[in-house]
Amino acid sequence: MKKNKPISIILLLFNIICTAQQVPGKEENIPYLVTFSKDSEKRWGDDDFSQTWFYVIPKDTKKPFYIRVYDPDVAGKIDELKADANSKTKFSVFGGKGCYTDPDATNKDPLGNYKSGTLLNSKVFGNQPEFDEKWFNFGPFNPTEGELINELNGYVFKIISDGLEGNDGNLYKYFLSSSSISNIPLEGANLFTYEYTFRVDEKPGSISHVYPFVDENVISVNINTFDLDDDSYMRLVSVAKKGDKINGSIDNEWAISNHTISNEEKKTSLDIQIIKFREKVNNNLVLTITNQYGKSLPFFSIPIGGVPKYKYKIGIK
Amino acid sequence: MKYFFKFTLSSFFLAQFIFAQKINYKHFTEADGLHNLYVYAIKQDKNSFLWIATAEGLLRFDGKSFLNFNTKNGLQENFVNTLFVDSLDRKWIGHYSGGITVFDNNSFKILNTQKLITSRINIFFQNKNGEILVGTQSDGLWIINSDLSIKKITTSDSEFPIINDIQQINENQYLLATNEGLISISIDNRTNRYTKKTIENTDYYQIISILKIKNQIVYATEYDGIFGIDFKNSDTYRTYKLPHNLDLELSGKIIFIDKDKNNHIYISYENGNFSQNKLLAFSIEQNTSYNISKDKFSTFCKSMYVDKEDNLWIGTFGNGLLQSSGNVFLSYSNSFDYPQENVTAIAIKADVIYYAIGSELYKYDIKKELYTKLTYHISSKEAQTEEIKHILIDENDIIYISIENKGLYSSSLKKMKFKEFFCHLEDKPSCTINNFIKDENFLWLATDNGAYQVNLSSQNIKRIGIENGLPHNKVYTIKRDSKNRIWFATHSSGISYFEFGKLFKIHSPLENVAVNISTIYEDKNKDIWFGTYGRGIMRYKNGEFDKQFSKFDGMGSDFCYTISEDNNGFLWVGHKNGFSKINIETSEINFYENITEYSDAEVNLNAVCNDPENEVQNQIWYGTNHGLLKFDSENDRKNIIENSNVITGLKLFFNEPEWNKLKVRKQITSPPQNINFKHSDNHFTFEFIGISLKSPENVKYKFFLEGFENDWSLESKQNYATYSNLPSGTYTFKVISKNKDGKWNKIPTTYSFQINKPFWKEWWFILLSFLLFLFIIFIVYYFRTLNLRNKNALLLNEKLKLEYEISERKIVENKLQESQRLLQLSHDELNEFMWRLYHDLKSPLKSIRGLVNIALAAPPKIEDSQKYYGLIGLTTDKLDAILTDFSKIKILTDFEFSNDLIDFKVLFDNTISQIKLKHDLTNFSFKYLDQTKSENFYTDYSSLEMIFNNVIRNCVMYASANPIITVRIKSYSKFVSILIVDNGIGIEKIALSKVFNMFYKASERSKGTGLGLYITKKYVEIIKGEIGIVSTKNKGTMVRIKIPSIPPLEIIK
Repeated sequence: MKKNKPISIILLLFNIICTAQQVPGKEENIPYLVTFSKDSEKRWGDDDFSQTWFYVIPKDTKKPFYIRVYDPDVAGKIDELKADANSKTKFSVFGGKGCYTDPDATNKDPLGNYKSGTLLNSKVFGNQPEFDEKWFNFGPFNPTEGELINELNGYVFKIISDGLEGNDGNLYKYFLSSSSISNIPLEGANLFTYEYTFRVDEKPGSISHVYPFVDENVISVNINTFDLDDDSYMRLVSVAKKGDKINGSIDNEWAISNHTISNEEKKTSLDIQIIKFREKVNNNLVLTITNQYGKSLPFFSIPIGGVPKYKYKIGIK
Repeated sequence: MKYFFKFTLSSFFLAQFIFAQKINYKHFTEADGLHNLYVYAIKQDKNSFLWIATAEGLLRFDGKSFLNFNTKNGLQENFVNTLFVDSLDRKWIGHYSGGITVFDNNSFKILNTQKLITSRINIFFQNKNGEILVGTQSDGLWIINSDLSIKKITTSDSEFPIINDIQQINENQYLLATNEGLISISIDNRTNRYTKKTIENTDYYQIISILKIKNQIVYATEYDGIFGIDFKNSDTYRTYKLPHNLDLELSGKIIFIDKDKNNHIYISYENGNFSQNKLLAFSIEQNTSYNISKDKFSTFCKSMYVDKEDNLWIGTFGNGLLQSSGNVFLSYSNSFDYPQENVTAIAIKADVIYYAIGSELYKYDIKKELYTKLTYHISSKEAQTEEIKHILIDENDIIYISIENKGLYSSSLKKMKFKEFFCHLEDKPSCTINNFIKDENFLWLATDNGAYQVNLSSQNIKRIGIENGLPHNKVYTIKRDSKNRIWFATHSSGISYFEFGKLFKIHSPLENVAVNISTIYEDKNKDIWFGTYGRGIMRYKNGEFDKQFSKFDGMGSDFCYTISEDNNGFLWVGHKNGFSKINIETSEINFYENITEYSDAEVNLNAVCNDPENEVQNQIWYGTNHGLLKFDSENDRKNIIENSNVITGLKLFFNEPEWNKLKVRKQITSPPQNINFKHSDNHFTFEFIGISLKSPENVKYKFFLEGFENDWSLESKQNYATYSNLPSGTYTFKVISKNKDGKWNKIPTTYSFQINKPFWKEWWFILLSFLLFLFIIFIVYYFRTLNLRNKNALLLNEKLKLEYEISERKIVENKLQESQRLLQLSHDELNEFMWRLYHDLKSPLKSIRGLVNIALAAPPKIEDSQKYYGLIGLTTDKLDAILTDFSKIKILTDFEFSNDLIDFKVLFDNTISQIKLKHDLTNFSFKYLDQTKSENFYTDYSSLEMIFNNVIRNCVMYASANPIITVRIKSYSKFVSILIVDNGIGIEKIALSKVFNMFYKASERSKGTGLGLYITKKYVEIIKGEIGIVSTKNKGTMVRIKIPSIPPLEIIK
């Protein structure tokens, strides 16, 4: 599986350093993931009302694990409610054959057979206060119920959140845990996505980060943003970029920003920073990143190899 | 003070805790052969095998070992998600990726679902028609007919996202538990078309299970509890929530609910809680609570099953399989973790257990299920750390404890202020007090230095040692019986008792054996039992030892640490590795092994108590190295379920038979039956198992091979039987087994087979062999006869040769004699011939000489001269005739035979013509009579001519007047007879025998040389003929000649 080769390298690194599997990650300064229901308007910050995350469980893991969802219902103060809380979100966990390897599975848009694999569990959440600000467990899952991807050295599962009826935005978090009652990281496991839909930190001056990883074959990337709004701007930081400006989109539109990748930046994480300069609530953003061939690159909730820092060079004449 | 320990209960810190009651599970993991620890489903088949679905294959468990099946054995996938055993005992195996495998008739069959179902199989359900309904994760509902063809019922997968369970309501109506509510679906049996209806107010719920218990249908939701539903008809129903005393909030979401054959409902919760519950009319009441999470097995019970013997099997998610065989033994400890609590001493008083863990003292209130640690202080630091050896509570609520090497202490139960019992005595026992009892006003101590009797009133101490008749000063245990006898067990199996102020020594069967008596017990029949270190137990009844039980009789060990009796009358003997349960009446023994989850659990010496007078009289409490152990006789129900016996294997000469060569298909779980084996395959080993999942280690077997044996074998735990050198014949191997409670199978399990006769025992071979034998006999006889004949022939040949040689020799000798005779005869003849020659030649010569002399003496006249010349001429003719005859003799010696064809008439005519030349035959009358036949006659013509000439000439020469000469020729088959007859002068009878001699002249008238007939006979002999002559004087002579025909060689050929 040629396409997974770069990721496997990533994950080897990831396995060494990563012990926490929270999405969004602590380093990202992103409060929640967000999925709007089908009757919502896209300008509210969700282009397709669906979000998919993959998680890899190391092959030698024997213990069962849980995928925990924080505040899965669409009600309460955490969610973005438009009027009465009339929405439903369906969370579905998939494993088995095709879960990751089906071509539609890693597409940034929920098209075709994007719900590939074996449905392990699913639950629809609506206005259910009993789940408000609480963790809900999917699982336990046997690691072998996932799709074995030798290149990734583990079993791959995915969780899809689909906005169903209604027009509210569901804000939530994931945690991959070995316990059903608390968040205990699963050693060596990790999560990644190809389209990141999230709530931007609301405080003026705050900086949110997302960390795509570029492999050695990448020579340029397109950073695609949807619905950045005018209260934030974006910049790109890497070992070779001090803070290149990223062309941000306006409300309800996609913007593409092209950036060349230098040799130093290969096999490192990029730091896409969203800087909030004006207070505005409920700003949600969709981000994807593609290489020079238009192929999506994965975002990891924790930067591979650590947060990239610009390396200053002293020129000698 | 040296001997004073200031012992004060400085503080009585009362800390009360809920005691950790631990159900004793058997835990099966990888080490036991359960190679994958995720157990998705458990089912039992009709043979009592337990089938276990795991993420890495299907396992079959027979109580002792796991047999793993995977794709190599015929499964469609290794991942088995669900299992079902239908009414035909077919095992339905549902896989993770949509595959379905059926185990039927000892082989796996894969259903063709590969392109039809891609999501996991969640549930199989057999409807009233025997069809199998299949609920899938995301491929809807399917139905499998009896021919294993599969059809999809539902048309829209989105309507049935996850089907978790199925239940049949009536003929055509089913309830489906889905993650989007409870769905009622009616299926047209003919078209498989369906109508669907979601039960109202359930669409928000994830329905995980539906149960039908008698006429009541209940279903469980993940988070919202358990509901009931009543149908009035297919469209009218009522749902209601079942109130319960379950703490769902604490336990988390429900994973599944299931039921057993007794209609108990089992509920599995997310956090490892698991409970057995009773379904009342409109509520659920919890019976027993299990918490596998707290027991550190798993946090998640994925599956459960209650088997025929009421064993509860729990499949965990990630930590293997658990078995609970009823709560006969329960462990109690202060810790949920691996408890290192060595309970060395134990006593009971008013439903409160007092026990010691090392130097610490505890009490446990059985009713309140609370334990309290009793903290106390001893002034001596040494004593604080020493182990408490024994606890006793008397009728006055005084508690006594003995501490290792530190003496005896007592306190009231209320105050719990211990003081040293002998603190004021100078002659107190200074050694370890191993055991002690209270007998009314006396305290009896068993010490390393004899037994002590302490008068509690006077505080007097009396020591009883070997000087008083005690077998040994080291006393291990002491016991008072119902007859107030104080029993002592001393070192090296010494047994004695004290009664009426005297010590009596008992002669036990172990008197001369160097083993120790470890414990003494008086049963309800007032009989005394002695437990030993190494020789089991023995009973003392009516003044003698009448019973002895040991490992040989079925006990788990010969080393006995406790003896107790339950209220069912069974004796329980504690060993390091378990308990032996003895039926005193029948002497039947069962061994309870691995009664706790701790493989190293051991009961401590004499750490046992029960109180037959209190409410928990059915309980016996033991002190073990892992806390307290409670035996509950109420839960020790007799297992009346017969074992299922299965013949699992067949070995030929200890190896798996080559089934291919036997032209039978190898069966997966048991050997194929009714096989015809070769006569040389005569060494069989049958492997079998009697399945009793409750107590597999106590299964015993009896077997016999019908056709070879006449009776069952002795019962044993051996689960194989080997037979060697089986002769040809038809056999049936039969096996029965009994469970730990002695329930034997009524009907044996059989395996029939046949060993073919060797071909040399077949009738046709015997017949052929007999015929061959006869043939060989014949051949031998024939060749021997032939050989003898050949030898005879050779001998005969030799004999003939010899005879021939002898005859040849005789012939030669005869020839020689004949030659000699002939030589002599020739010599005689020659003499005679010479004399005759001399005489015949001399006479003419003399005549000629006389005539010459006359002529010389006087010249004769001419006429005389002519006369003389005439005489001389006659004389010369005579000489010439003589010489001519001589020449004929000469011819005889040089004769060469010629095979000429003879014409007798021509011969006769030629002969007459020749005679006419010299004789006047005018007067002669010749008659020629030819009586020959037409056959040709061959002989030498010249010889025959000579014979005719001589004989007829003689007839002419010696004829009478009117001479008639008759010649008659008559032929016979191989010869001719020639008769020549004349009427001449005849021959004297006396001369007849000499007429064939040389120079014999039978008549004066003879003018011949006397050689004629001699030469004639010679010629007759040359041509192999015979000649005879008959003559009568003056009448005539008849010559008869017989001559054979000798044809030439070419004519003979």
